[in-house]
Amino acid sequence: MSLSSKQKATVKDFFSKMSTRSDDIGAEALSRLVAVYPQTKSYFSHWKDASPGSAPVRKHGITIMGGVYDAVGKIDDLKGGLLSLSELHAFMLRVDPVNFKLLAHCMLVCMSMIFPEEFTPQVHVAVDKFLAQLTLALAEKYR
Amino acid sequence: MVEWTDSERAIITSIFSNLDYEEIGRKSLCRCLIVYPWTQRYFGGFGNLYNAETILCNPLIAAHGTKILHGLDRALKNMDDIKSTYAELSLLHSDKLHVDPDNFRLLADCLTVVIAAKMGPAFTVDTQVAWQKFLSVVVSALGRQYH
Repeated sequence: MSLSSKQKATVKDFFSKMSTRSDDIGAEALSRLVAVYPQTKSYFSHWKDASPGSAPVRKHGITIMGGVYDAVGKIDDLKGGLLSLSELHAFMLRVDPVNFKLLAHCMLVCMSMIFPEEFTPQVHVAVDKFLAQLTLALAEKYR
Repeated sequence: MVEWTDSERAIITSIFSNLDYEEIGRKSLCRCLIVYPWTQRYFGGFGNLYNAETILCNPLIAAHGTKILHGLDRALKNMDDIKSTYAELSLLHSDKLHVDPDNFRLLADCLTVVIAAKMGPAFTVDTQVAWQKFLSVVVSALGRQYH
């Protein structure tokens, strides 16, 4: 389910529109992940507070979103571009890849909330496909 | 038995009481057919589904979206026993319609995205938690009678 060139352009365009609110979307998305899917908090047991809206959650959400934006720039070669991030997730963080899908869903919900007019079904499918490709690239080094 | 807090009941009830069934039903089903095109397999008799634009203008799809959303009313009215409320509907989807139950989850996700767009900032974290809990119970009940 690779992206057509039209869909790549759609993704770049939407992410560019989103850039002023990208921090909010990242912070909100991770907050919603730990709230809606509490089992994901298991990866954050080293934080004093892993509740939705807490400072470490918000900060980390922003970091993750930064990574996603970086991936947009590497959309033509996600596997190659995300090699070191994949090694980090595979050997150090060892996050079960099923959680990437859950976070992607929360990101889509936040995008829809904050950009209801722009997040059309056509944009939704392109961004969903992009996040799925990103997930695959991130899991590349797992085994 | 699923336990609901007073707050969760209030949130779900509130969402439904402010719901435009036609608008949200149409948008959710259309979005599902566009974002997950393999779901179109169940809509062979629904006319033109050629591309996103034709799907969005298709009156049969719009009507069916409304019907699906009204189907959720029954879960709302019987929140303490959604499993039995949907037993017959589950059998229908299994034995007559032959719908892969994973599709219920896909439609539920699209419904969440559409409601989030409609409610904007009012779709708070607590609202999303309650709403997705409700939908996951519905999805589970609809898949329960498959054999």
